[in-house]
Amino acid sequence: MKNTDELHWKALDEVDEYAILLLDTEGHVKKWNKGAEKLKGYRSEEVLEKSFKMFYTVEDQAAGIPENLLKEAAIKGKVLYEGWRVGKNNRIFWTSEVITALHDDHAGLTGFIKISRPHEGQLAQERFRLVVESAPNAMVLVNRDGKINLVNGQTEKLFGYTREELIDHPVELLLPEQFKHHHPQWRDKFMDAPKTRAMGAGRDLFARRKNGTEFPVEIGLNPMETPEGPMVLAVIIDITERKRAEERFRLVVESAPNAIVLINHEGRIALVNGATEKLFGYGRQELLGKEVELLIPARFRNMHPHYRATFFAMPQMRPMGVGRDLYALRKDGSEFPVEIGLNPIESQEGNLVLASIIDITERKVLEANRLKSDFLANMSHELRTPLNAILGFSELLIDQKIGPLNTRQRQYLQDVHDSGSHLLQLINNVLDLAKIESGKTELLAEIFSLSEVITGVINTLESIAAKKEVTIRLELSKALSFVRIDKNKFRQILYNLLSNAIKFNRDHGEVQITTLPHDADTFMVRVTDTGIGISKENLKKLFIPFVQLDSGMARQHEGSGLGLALTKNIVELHRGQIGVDSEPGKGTSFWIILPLHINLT
Amino acid sequence: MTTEKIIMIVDDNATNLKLASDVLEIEGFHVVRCSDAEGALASIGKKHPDLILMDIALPGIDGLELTRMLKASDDTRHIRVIALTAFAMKQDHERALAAGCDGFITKPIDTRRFKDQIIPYL
Repeated sequence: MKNTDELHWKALDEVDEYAILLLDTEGHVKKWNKGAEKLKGYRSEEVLEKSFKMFYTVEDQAAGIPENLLKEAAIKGKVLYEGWRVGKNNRIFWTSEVITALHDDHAGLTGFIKISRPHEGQLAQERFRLVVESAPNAMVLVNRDGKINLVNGQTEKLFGYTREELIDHPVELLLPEQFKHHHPQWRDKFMDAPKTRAMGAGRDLFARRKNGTEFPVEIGLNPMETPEGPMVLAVIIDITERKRAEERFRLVVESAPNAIVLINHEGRIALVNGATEKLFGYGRQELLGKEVELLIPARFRNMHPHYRATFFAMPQMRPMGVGRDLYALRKDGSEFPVEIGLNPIESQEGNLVLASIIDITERKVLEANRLKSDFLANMSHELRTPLNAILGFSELLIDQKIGPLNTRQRQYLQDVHDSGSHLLQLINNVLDLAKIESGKTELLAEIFSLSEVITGVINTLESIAAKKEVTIRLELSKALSFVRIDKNKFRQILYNLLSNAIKFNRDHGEVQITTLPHDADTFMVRVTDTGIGISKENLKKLFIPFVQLDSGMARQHEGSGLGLALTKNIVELHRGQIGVDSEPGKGTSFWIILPLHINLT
Repeated sequence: MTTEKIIMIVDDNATNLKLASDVLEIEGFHVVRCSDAEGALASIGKKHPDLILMDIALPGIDGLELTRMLKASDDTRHIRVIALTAFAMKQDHERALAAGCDGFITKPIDTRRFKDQIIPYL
């Protein structure tokens, strides 16, 4: 080579992006630049004096392509060739090259210069292939006609096919039977207006393995332009586990004893369970998709969207509306007090709230009763104190311990004393009721004779019965003599029933008291009168505290409406039963069933 | 015999105090009236009563607290104390007995029976 050639070569040597080889007329490598080193991977020592055939694929070599290229170059001056080449360690790469024949001044062939560079597109394609292969998800490249062009290792693993079994096959091979038919239409439609998106949004997608089993999937579609035309890269994710987790979640929610409502960030109901349907009186179809405000009384609806927004801004598991009384609204328009726990949940569709709702009506009622009872117990002390003076001083005067009195003075004072006594009795009744309701009463078991107590009660009511000329008849079973229950409380019950039987009787009427054995360990007492009777509606109101029947007679007699409520409580404390039979105009019959014997543990 | 016995009644309600005292005085007892625990202590210091009728709901040092104090001291332990209580709950009776009361009577008092109720304690 001449000196100028040396200089030229120096310049060419530095060129990085092109592989430049100087070949002799037989095709042996005489010179080799940095670019060639880079492209083919060999060092100069490994290629010099070797035939350039070594860079061609086995097939190309067998077909004699290298020799033909030289021949062509010699004749035409230069030749272009694009194809696969083989580099060091059998690395395959795509190049396009130009082989130019070199002549001396006398037009004699001196050799060739081969300039090649890796195809831009193919470089990108290589990179692309690498990325696809190393992706953690299954990827399938599909061409315009629906044939699989490329798959990665994850696809092989997921579907159970080798890539040879998939390439060039229709992509429908990977679909369950029922989807195969329509898929080509979808494909065509997609290719007409391709854009990156999730496939079948909102629909449940399924794929099919080589062994025929189907599984749920999520698929992302990415259209791309390739040298071979427009294609779609589908990313396939197996969501079997996710679906199972969702199903488990649904089951837990469904089987929960509390009402559970899942609400999305728009405030619409996404999910409810059976307990919700029962509690609110709606079928779930009537609730799904509706605004959650449907379940809230109208007066609270305005503020609720604001509260919702506040929650989503800072979602954390917490009880709802601390410090406020919460109410819910049923389908039939009725309201009830509730306690609500809120749990934020993340999902594919955004942030959700899980609301757990408990009906606290019973608890509120119990609380109210307890407060009432406590209040009453405290009040009774206050109420009894002045009574002390009323009863005590009137007694001293009546007994003439302070000096003599005339008849009228004695009488008036007796009236004062009677009223005081009555008041005291009322207060005692109220306190008894309060005690029983707040669970603070205990029973005292005592053995006593039934007839003795009953006769005793009759005696105390003698005067009242005499005023109306009411006769009291006793029918005591011989089989019952002694019982072991709370004597004082039994007396209270009897007094209440008997006094009612007399009060609500007609003049010259009759009261019948009957005792009889009921079953092996209980007995029954019946108190029947010949009074005005009780209508069906009023029967319902009988045992409610402070409620008196709206009849003239009830108003006439001083009552507080407590007697029967207390009686019922005492009977129930004994684990007994109480009931009433009545017919307006015919009379009333109260019956109680009590144990013969109470066990106090 | 009964006229020599001194009965102390402690009650912050003036009317109740008057009633209980009058009833006993009519029966012939000598009654010392106190309207709070401090007054009672001062009076006991001057002369021991034979019996103390104590309203347990007193302001300041309450009746039970006073009872405990009296029962804790050798000097006054022997003095019988009857709790006068308007509550009729079982716990109140238990609490009274636990504080050292020798008995209790529920209010309102029955003027006709009152004397017979306290005599066993004298």
